[in-house]
Amino acid sequence: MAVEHEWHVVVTDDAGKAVTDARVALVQEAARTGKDFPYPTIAATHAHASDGKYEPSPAIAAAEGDWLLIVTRKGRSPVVQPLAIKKRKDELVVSTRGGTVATLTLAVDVAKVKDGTVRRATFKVKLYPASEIVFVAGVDYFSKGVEHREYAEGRMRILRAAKTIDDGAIQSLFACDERAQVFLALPASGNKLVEIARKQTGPRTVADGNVEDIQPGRNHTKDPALDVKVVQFYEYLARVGQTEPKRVKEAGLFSHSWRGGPILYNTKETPAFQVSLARDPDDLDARSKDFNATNAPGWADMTKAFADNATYRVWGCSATRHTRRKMIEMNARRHADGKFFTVNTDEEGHGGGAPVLWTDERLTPEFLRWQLDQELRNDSYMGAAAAFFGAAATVYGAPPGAGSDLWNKGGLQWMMVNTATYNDNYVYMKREFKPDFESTSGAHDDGYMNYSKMVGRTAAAKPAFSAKYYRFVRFKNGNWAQLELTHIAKPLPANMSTYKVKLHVADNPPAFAPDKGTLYTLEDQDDATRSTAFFHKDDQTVWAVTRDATNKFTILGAAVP
Amino acid sequence: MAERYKAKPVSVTVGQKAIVELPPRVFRGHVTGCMFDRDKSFVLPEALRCIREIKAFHDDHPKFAVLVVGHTDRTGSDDHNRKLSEERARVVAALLTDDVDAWLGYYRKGHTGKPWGRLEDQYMLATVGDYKGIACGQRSRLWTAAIAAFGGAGNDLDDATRRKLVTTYMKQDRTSLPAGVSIATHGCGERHPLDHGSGEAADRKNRRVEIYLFEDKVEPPPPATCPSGGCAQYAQWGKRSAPLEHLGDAPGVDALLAMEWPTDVVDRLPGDAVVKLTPADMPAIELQAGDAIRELGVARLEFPLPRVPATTRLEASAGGKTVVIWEDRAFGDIGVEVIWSGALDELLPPAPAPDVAGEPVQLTTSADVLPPLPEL
Repeated sequence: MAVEHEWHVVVTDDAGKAVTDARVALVQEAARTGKDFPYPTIAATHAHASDGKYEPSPAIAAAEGDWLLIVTRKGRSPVVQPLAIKKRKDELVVSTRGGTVATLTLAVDVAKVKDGTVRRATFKVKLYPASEIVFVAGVDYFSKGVEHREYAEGRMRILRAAKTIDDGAIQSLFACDERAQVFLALPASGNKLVEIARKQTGPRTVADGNVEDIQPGRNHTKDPALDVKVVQFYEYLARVGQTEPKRVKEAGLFSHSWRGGPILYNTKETPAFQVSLARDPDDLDARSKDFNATNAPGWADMTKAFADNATYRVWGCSATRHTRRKMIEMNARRHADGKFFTVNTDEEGHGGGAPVLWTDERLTPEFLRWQLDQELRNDSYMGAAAAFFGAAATVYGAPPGAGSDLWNKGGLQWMMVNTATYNDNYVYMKREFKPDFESTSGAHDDGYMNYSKMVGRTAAAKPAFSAKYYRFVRFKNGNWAQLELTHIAKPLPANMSTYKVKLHVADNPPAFAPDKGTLYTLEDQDDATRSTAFFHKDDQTVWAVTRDATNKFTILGAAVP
Repeated sequence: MAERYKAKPVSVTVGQKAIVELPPRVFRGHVTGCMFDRDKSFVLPEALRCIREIKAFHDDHPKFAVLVVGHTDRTGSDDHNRKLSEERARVVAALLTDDVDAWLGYYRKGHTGKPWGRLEDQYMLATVGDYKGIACGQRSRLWTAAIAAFGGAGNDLDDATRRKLVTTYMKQDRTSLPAGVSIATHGCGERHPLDHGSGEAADRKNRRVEIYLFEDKVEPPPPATCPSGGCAQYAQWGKRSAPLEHLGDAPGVDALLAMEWPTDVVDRLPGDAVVKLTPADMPAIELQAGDAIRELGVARLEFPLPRVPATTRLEASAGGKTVVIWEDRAFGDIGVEVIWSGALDELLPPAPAPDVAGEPVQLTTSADVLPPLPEL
């Protein structure tokens, strides 16, 4: 029996009004090879007939295989629907592939009579105003199996439920695990987003190169030549800013993170770049330097990409236990300004177990305020981003010292600060930074600080000098110890190559009268001959000090540069 | 003396008593039309009219022997078709003798034709029960109600209820021959088609059984198997037979209208979603969306129609809401514009808002995630 196949497309806008000037292409999957989403160079296969109805011109010779329906119009979110055409007897059966996008309905009516069969496929497409969310999903470099892509997908569902985005919004996701930029659309039904396009930056391999054994969140083999780089995320946003401004409603990075930025892979900068303003080309992680005058010009047009009221979010931790401990100390004892207090913090390694990092710090309440203000303003990724984006996008991230947790309920996954766990952080920040401290309070984005607002406030004044300010850090795994005179930001000594060091602090020691200041003695507990001492005078100079066998201290002849 | 009739003029002497011995009469009844579904051995209810004719004739001639010869269309291999035709003949023989167990066996795998199932149950329950829907093998509220009315429960018949159904079906009036009657069966496969054409119309005619009644014994007896190229006996049975009556075409499906949607959309429709096709001059057919046949990523609802309707209306309903998919559409006409006044997705429930509260899974906290540490 003869089978007649028809392929109709009906295009309307979100108000149901016919769209007569869309580009409609029903093409085989291979047609998109080498072309960028949403494939502007692929020619239309359908011409507008009337009232938003598009008919093939010329007729389409459909064949078994993977197909794509592409419907685009400037100023509208593209609709791309992967399709599968399969053969059943002498008929071609069309179905959506990988799920049906929310902006499309497909219905096929089949009429069989004695003379033959008519199969009429009608795609009804709805074009919404252009909107996009652009996310990055980092690798779980602990290899614990955390798939950050799921949190990026969960965020899209949350945004849709909150009506922040509409059904037409596209998610562009830089999926580090998968070495790909994938494009996702909301589904017509169910919760699973529809992957509508994919652009690989490299093969999806694991350590042994076995493609079949990919386990997202585990054993990613870092390769700067193949992996998705944070720079590509910036460049993509900049390209959107250039070509279709104000399209991005939200940008975000889902990954492990710290104050210095999202840790997409846990790559390190080579030593030369650690002291450079430029980015290390082999470094894959995000850095606060990404927004400095050296690097930001490479993606300056990012700011143009954002829609009104858009946000830029870092979903991972900003946790350092020592910062949090300082806040807890302040909440507990409410030290008055001018009063010095010391905070001692032990921290375990990433895998837990015995402490490997010890931090002792002496400071004042006003110094802590200034210190935090400086850190978030000048030494944090979110602060740098906030300064860069200005009014273009509001930057959110975990507040100082707060971690981010992974949440999962009913198949929805999201990252969020547990504000109960980190209550002390919020109590401190609200009290000490009012009225500028502001944090989110949504059911799925609780506790993220508005860095834009914090950066926009008047900078805290630096407290008056005192030689008493110090921070002493010992790190077992690196086998080092270091004293920092925090008010003048001077690390001492140049090299203390053991962590087994005991610090002795003496303020205004009589031996140095009438000079006033603080004597810091770093006692090497394995080899006393390697012990060293410094005298931090009230005139802010620092002097190397010797101690003889009778415990007599002598200031050496020159100040420590 | 007696002279045997030899199908030619018989010479008798005028004025003398002569006995002309006639050969056994062979009566053949064959049913044309859609007597069997493709690759199935279940004899469709429309054939019951033929069976009753056979029964009526046999009641008048209780000593007649019966031969049931099965046939197939040309779909499938030659060997498959021969076995299927034998199966069809045995199924009819079992119907004539009320062999319930034989029929129940066809619900299990291991036979040549496709196993019987819900479709066959629907054929029977539509005949002897209260099933008012279309026999299409799909579940529906009408089907569930019919099962309940017949003493069953749920969406399908259990073994006991099915036995009761088959027994009831076989015990219908004037469908059973007396115990002890001799019934031979034979299968000719596709080798003796009624219609040598191709296509569904020809296939439908060829999927059949023919029932012969012999006054004495089956003559000539059927071969063990119908040889390649057909058996000579078939021609003889036909040549020597006098048709009982042309029983006419059984009403079949002359048109089929189906709707296909992506399965992921249909799967999310509310449980009460139904799709209703209303042909202009025929009763409406209502199918539950959940009963759609799922294959190749599409969910398909089929509306079989005994003839091509002038126009149709298609609508879907769920949760008290109805959307018209089209109305007044000419059936199968290429070029007739489909009026999309609604689509199935309008019946989808709104996407549930994510739960507000969740249990945190604390995998990343400050204790776990230390910032990269300074290195000297």
